[in-house]
Amino acid sequence: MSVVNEWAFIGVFMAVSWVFPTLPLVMSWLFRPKRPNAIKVATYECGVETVGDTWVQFKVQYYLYGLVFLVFDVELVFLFPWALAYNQLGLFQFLAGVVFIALLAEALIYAMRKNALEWA
Amino acid sequence: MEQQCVNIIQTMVPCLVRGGMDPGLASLISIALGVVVVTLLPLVGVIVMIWVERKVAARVQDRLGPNRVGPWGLLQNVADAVKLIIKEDITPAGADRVIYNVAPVVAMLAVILMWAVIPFTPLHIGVDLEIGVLYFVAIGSVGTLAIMMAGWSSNNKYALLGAFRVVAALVSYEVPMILSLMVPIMLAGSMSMMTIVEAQVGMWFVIAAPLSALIFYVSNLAETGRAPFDLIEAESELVAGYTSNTAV
Repeated sequence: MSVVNEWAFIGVFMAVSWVFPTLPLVMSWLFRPKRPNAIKVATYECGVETVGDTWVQFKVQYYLYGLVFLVFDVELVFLFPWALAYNQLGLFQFLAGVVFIALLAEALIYAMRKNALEWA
Repeated sequence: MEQQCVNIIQTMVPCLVRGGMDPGLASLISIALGVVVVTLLPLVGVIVMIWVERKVAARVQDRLGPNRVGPWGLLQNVADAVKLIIKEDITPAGADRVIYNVAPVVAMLAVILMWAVIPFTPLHIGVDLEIGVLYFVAIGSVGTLAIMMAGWSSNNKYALLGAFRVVAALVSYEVPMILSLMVPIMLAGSMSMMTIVEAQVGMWFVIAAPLSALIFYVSNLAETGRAPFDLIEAESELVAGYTSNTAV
């Protein structure tokens, strides 16, 4: 298969495969009873009235987790080509990759020392 | 036998072309057939595996598991599916309707789309992408997005908190998972799934790199929410967490 055909499979896959999860949802919508009343559609809070706003302010630790994850995810994306070419690398190229990883390891140690990863 | 299996779809294209069809359209139809097969195979497999898991887990816990519905409880999945289809679906007041209904579809899509690069046999694979592992990891991350969609769109602060917890956990375990996947890429010299499989003829990578296999295994247990990481859904504590309003 040529390169164009390869991704055509993925394209057709994306165009077709959303039918499979949607089909049971549609069948359910056709067959189920629809009798909403005020109590059934009320927000669930263990059977009592809800207290306070729904879209609560979230703790900053989640944001810090996301931030640190972002840094390391981008590092991984940059590491992919280095890992792919690993078998053909000379010493200098290997050490360049090691320096990159060491820089980001230092970033991890910094984040840990600043308690960014602490779940307080 | 396997050789014939592959050629059925591949010989269809010249047949259709000889019958007067445009070759682009003919190859598109053969691709669509391949897509349907690749989607249905794991879905059917999942139906069997659910039964296997319920019976085996039950026996491990010294009980029987489903044994009423069909012979040895084989029709339990059918009964569950029928029940789920005919039960009333409540969309809570104030929920974001579009995202609320799309989230389960996206979550399932993230899993179905992954099967395109999984090799079933040495001759059968959906499509052997050059960047198979990268595609696998990227599509897997879409599932995390679906969970955030489910938790946010249901107008429920406990579902939202549950979604935060789950996304934080999933996102944390993605980095070691991808890092440990670098090791087979380094050993095989390619991201293509078939090449990685064929490079293990001499020695399995699980034996050549056991530490990274262990890290991958543990990270995947956390990503899929299996024990001992099943607290992120908190079925018995946060009232099913982010799934308390929608069954994602």
